[in-house]
Amino acid sequence: MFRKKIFIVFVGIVLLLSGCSESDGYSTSTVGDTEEIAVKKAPIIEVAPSNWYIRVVAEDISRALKTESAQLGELESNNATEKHTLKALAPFGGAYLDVVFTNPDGVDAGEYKVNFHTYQEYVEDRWAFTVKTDDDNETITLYWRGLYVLDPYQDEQGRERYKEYRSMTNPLLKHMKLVDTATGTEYPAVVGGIVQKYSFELINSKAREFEWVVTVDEVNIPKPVASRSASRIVLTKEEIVERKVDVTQRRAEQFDLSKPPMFIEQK
Amino acid sequence: MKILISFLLCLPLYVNAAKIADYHMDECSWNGAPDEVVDSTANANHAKVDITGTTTTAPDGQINRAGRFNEDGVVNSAVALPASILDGKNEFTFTTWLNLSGQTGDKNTFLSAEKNDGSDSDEILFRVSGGTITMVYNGSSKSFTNLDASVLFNQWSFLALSVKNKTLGSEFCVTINSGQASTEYQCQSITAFSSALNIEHLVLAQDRAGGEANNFFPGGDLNGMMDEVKFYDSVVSQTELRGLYDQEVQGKYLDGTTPPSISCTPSASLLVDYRMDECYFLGGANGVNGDVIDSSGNNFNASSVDRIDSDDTDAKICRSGAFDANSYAVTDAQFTLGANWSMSIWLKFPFVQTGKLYYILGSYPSRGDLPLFRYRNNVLEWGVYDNAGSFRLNSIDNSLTGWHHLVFVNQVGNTDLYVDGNFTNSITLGSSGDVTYLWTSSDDLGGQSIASSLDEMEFFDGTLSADEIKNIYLGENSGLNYDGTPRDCPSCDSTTISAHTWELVGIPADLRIDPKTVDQIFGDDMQGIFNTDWRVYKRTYSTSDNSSGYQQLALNDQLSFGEGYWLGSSLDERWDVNNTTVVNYDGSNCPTAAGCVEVDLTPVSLNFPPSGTDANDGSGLYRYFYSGFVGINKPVDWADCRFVIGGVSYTPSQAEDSANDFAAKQIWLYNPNEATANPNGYTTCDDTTPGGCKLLPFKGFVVELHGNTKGKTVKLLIPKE
Repeated sequence: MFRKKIFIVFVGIVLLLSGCSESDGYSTSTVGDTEEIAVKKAPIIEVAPSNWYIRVVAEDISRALKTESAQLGELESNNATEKHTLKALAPFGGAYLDVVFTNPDGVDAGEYKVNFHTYQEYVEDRWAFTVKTDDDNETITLYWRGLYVLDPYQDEQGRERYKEYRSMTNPLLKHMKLVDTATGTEYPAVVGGIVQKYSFELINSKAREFEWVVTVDEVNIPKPVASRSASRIVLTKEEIVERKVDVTQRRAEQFDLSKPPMFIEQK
Repeated sequence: MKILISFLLCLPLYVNAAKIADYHMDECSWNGAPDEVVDSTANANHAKVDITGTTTTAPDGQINRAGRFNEDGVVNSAVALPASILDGKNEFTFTTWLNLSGQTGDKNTFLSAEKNDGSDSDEILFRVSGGTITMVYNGSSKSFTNLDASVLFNQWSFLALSVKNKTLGSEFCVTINSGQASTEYQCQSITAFSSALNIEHLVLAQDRAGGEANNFFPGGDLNGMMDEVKFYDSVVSQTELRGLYDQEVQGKYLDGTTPPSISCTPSASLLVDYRMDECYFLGGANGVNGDVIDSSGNNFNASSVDRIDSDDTDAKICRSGAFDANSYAVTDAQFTLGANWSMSIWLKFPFVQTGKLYYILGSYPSRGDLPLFRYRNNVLEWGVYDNAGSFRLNSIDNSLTGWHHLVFVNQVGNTDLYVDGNFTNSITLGSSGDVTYLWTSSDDLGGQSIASSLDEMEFFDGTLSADEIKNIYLGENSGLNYDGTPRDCPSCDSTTISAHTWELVGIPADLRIDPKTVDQIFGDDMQGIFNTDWRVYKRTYSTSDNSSGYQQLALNDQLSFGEGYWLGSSLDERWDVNNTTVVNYDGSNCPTAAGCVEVDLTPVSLNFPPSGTDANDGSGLYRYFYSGFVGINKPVDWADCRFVIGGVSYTPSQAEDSANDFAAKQIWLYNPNEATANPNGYTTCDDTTPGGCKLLPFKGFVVELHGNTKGKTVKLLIPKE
């Protein structure tokens, strides 16, 4: 311990004398096999990005339905909406669960699976989307997988591409909320650094409207009683096995070898 | 040889001599506890190791586990057997499997016995040095030096020694097999062995010498492993020994039964098990999550970010993950590390130095990391960054190259590092929390990734003991799971279909030059009955409008190159294309240097006028064509594919551009995951989708063709993966 203290004092003196104690952000000294104390491992602070997206996941746990291909986000490019908004197809019949953006600005009327806006600093932005299913009496859970931070670059063929960093901790998440249009209920995207889940019941309805909102100021909503951490809900091994058994049984009941999955109804 | 084979086929599955003791050495560890080395006979001649030694068991035995001796050169590393096994015997047979790992000059005493008279004079001793088998009796030795099959190093050899004293014929016989086609056998007379053995100590793997301070003769220790040690009360015949060898060399007991595999589960429960055996990682493309599979059963899958290559040529077990400077993963459901936990991982050294200071194994959402490494001035150290922001480093061997096993044991504010099963040093910091990132830190997601190859990462909900760490190291180093059970490597040149599901499949074979039928592609692999348990449908296209239909195929129907098919099965099945010709990437104007191949698409039959409306029932504006990816090794980027329409090449976005309007830039993939049993599990993406859009091996995809393709040849250029 005494040697450690001497070492800390020595490092401090060196840092003071050098006047640039953290020229590389770190200060340590080699001490052979003994434990070494570093002054700091400087974290690089995450900043809110101007290119990003959220992937909205909808899950009907009781029927083992899940869709996770709906993307909303912002890009710096001026033609973000036109270039990155992908249309959806009508449900193909049978059991389904879908998330679509209906009649978004900047593209032809219709339903879309992907909707990007052009980034504007210090401006509130909104995305309206619909959760659709074939059953009007189900409990649906919405969640998101953190923030996908995009870093644009040009590839060797001159095309605009994006490197992607998925962050559960980016400060932009604190500026995001989900609005249940039917009830006006607002849910923060994160609470205490934990990404949230939002469950709702469809009663005599096969669709529900929502908005995803990016606010100028940090979202300040008291922690909703019904909100749940998206990442902390962990099934036990037994529950996982039970769920797999349920899915397997349901598959067996519904499976019909004479009807391959349709893609656009036949004429 | 024929005579020999015939002879071997008639080998007996018994030994007439009575078995005194039989040590399978399948215990998970030894630490000096009484009766820990179990005698499987009814005689209960259980034994134990010398408590101050380092003898333990290893998972890579001849049959299951084996006794492992003297890896660190400690002299008193031995198993002390009950002396009564041989005391008073005038004849006996001793059999064992040996796997020597030391130097050829080592004495390698594998069995010794002595009286308690304080002298170094052995009552009886057997050792092997180089190719020489030696028996010593009361200072007089007999050696075999000319056996055709000498005991080889670093492989298992069967050894049997039969001894009769003078009154019974004075004979010392050695039977040995070192991977040869047949056993070798020699005998010599040993006139010195003239009376019944009078011993008080019987020891495996050491030269027991009463005159020495620690009761062991320095330099006489065995370096390596022993397995299936047996003692019989008389001479076992050569035929019987060959029968014993013939069974044990196949991993069976003498009666022909195969012993169950041994599971040595650590006391701390397995929390997460990332084996990195996936055929590919998608890096977030197609919206796919959970592509880094947790095999623990706890469902803590993670999602890869950026590029992680699945490597089957350089892995510790099966496949490994090869990371670039920016790649990492995010846990789909965070798992919690409490005050006490352990992490086991194989890493390839040295790391690829990417100019970064830190290479971090993972982190929590806020302060605190999993153990990390730092390269500074080309010196590698390991460190702990705790939840309070304190940071400490310690040394690690900078000469490490290739794969090495590291275990970090975190126990209430302290972290111990073990390298290749041996304790290295500690840091008086620890961390805990919800693991959010793997192979990078929340401090700088793209700037602190591990940038190396890694394999077999396990988290345990508690502290592992030194013995357990050694077990994991030895097991995984031998290609076994962390608990010593065998691993079945996944096949990546085949694919599975789950019971009661449909798959939109692509066939990764060149059906242009080597046409195949349904029977030849699927029928040779599917175990179920065609039409009853499984079926194949193809997409059909109207020639009068843009509608489509489905046609059920017969077994002898030909399949087309690059087309997608519906495969439905009511059974769990696996299928491959092993009997086909690999794709000849003979296309021209390829978008990538690796080459490409052209796939024919069916254009629209009806070009609606501009005022036409899409009925969205298949008869409208567009034709939805089922294509099948033809690559087999790994996914390719949809952005690297091209439409070739009337001989002109277009990117997907260009094909959709209003000036062309040949096709949609987006594709649809049928992606029902395990939890999604519905028939509507499509995902969609295009060549500009942030996050990526990839075609996957053995999978089909849907392409939307527009009116302007009518009357034109339409092809898809798919690059070589």
